[in-house]
Amino acid sequence: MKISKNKPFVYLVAFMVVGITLGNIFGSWVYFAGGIFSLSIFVLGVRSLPPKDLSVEIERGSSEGGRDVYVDDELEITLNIKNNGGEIRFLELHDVIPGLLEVVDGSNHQFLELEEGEERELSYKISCSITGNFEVGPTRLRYRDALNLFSKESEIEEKMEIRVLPRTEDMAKIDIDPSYTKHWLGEVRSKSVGVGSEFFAIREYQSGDEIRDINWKATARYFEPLTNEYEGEKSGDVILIVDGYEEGIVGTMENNTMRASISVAASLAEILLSARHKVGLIVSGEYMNWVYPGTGKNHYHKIMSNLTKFERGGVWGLEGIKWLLEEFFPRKSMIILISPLTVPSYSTTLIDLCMKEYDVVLISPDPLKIEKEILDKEEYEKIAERLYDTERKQILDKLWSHGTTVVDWDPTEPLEPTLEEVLRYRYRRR
Amino acid sequence: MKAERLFVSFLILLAAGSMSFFSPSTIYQPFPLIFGVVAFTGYAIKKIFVLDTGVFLTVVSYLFANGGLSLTINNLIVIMVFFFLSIGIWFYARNTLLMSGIRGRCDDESDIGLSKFRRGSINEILNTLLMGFLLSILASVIFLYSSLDMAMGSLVNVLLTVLFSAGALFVTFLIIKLLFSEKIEVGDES
Repeated sequence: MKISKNKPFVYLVAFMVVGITLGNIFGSWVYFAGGIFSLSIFVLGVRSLPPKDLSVEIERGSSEGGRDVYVDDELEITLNIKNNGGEIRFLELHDVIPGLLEVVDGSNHQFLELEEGEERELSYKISCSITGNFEVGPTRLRYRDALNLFSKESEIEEKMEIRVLPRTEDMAKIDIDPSYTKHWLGEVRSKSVGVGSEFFAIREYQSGDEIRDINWKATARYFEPLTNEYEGEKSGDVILIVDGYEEGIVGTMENNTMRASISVAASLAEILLSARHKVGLIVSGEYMNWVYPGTGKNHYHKIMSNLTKFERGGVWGLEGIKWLLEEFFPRKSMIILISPLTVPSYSTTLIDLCMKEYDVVLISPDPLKIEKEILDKEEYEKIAERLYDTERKQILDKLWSHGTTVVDWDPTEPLEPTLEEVLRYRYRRR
Repeated sequence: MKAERLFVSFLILLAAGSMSFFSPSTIYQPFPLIFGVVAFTGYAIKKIFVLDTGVFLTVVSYLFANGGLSLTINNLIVIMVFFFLSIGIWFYARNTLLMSGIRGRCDDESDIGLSKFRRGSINEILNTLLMGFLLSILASVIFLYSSLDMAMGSLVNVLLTVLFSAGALFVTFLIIKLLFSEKIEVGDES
C-alpha cells in the first residue's frame, strides 16, 4: 500500500514556495505571510496522514448463498467488513462490478467510518440483462483525509463468480415427441408393446405374467386366461442447436436473435429433460460448444452452463454443425435448430439433414420483428419488409415441404402458443 | 445537492469579489475577481483542474495586489482572513465535486454514507482552518515582534533561534520526506 499525495498537497507546497520566493524578490511581508499560512495548513494536514496499515478484512457473499441468477432477476451481494486496525475516519469502498451488471438497489460505492475492531455489513443488489459468467471484485479501498491532501489505496483481490442464466419460458403445455424413440423409458408412446400405462392389446396368458395384468372380463368371456398388453413409453435423443453464426445475428447487445435463441434453448432443455429425453446441445459461438445427450438435473446444469458461456458469435455455420452431428451424435436423433435463418445456404443443409433421417424441427426467431422493435417505426421501410418477408416465407415453405417442422416465431411474443400450434399440426401430419 | 452547489458557486464569487474590493486600487485590483471567475467556471463545469488553478491564481494575485501594504496587525488580519476564507472554500468546493462524482445511481446519499462523510469533512476543514488561523497568528506575532528590533536578553535570543531553527528544519524535513519518499499522485482523485 502506498500513500499518494493529491493535488491540494501540491498546491499548498506551491503556495509556500511562491510565497517565500516572491517575498524574497519583492521584499514584501505579504508573500511571506502567504507562505506561513500555507505552511500552517500543511503542518495541520499532516495530522491526518493515513494509517500505516489499512487492516480491513472483507468477505463477499450473496443472497442465500446462490451465485446463479436469471436474466433481469436481482441478486443481493453482501460485504462483511471487519476493521482489524485502528479507527478509520474516511474510508471509501468500491466493489468493482463488470459494466454489464447493473446496480439496482443500494450502491457498490460506499463511504465508511470504522471504529477499531468494528464489523459492518453492507449490501447492494445487482441485475443483468444478458446471459454470461461475470466476476464481481476486487474490492478497492481508499482512505482519504478531509482536506484530500493524502490518500492511501489498497485492493482486496477476492472475487466472486456470478452466472447469469437465460430466463426460461414456462412451456408446460408443450409436448415434443421425437419421431424415433430409443430403448430407454420415457413418455413417448412407441406404437409397440412395452412398459407403459396405456392399453395396447390382449394376448394369451403366459407363465410369469403378473396377476394384476390379467384382463378378467375377457378371461370370463373366452374361458381362457388373457393378459393386457401395454403400449411402450420410450424416449429419444434430442439435440438442441443454437445458431451463433456471427454474420447472422440481428439486433443489439441486449436484444438480438442470439439471446432469443439461447432463452428458447434453455426453456426447451428444461421441458425435454423433464420428459425424460436425452438432450444434447451444440452452440456455434466463437468456439463450437457441445454437450453429448444425457439426462438428469446435473445434465441440465451442464447445458445451462454451456448456454451462459456464449459470449459472441463466431465463424461456425451450419455446415460445421452438420459435420459434428454426423461424426459424434447418435443417428436418427431429433434436431431442434434455433436459427434466425439469415444465411441462405442453411436451407440446403437442413434439407440434407432431413434426408439423412434426422427428425428436424426449426425454430426461427424472426429477425425482422426484433429489428422492428429496435428501430423507430417511421424509419422502417414497408417495401423492404414485405420483400424480406416474402423471401423468408419462401425458404420456410421449402423447408416444410422437405419434412422440416418449421416454427416461425416472433421473438417479441412468447414461444409457447406458436410452438404448440405447429407441433399439433406436425403430429396430425405424421 | 444543487442548492449546495449554488451556495459554493456563490461563495467562490463572493470571496473573489471581496478580495478584489478590499485590495488597494492598483492595476492588479481586478485580478482576484478575474481568477475567481475562472475558479467558478471550473466548479460549474466540474473540472477540478480549472478550479484548482483558478483558486491558486486568485490567492497569488490577491497577495500580489496587496504586496505594497505596510505591516500592521489590521492588514495582517485582513490578508489572513481572505487567505483562509479562499482556502476553506476551495477545500469545500473540491469535496462537493468529489461527492457529486461518486454519488452515482444512489438517490439517497445517506445510503452510501456520504452525509456522514460530508459532516465529518466539513468539521475537519473548519478545525484545520481555525487551528491554522491560530497557528498563523502566533507565527505572525512572533514575526512582528522580531521585526520591531526590540532588545532581548542573549539567552532568550539563543532559545528563540534554536526553537525556530528546529521548527524550520523539522518542517523542511517533513516536506522533503513527503515529497520525495513516495509517489505523488495527482491524476485520479475521484
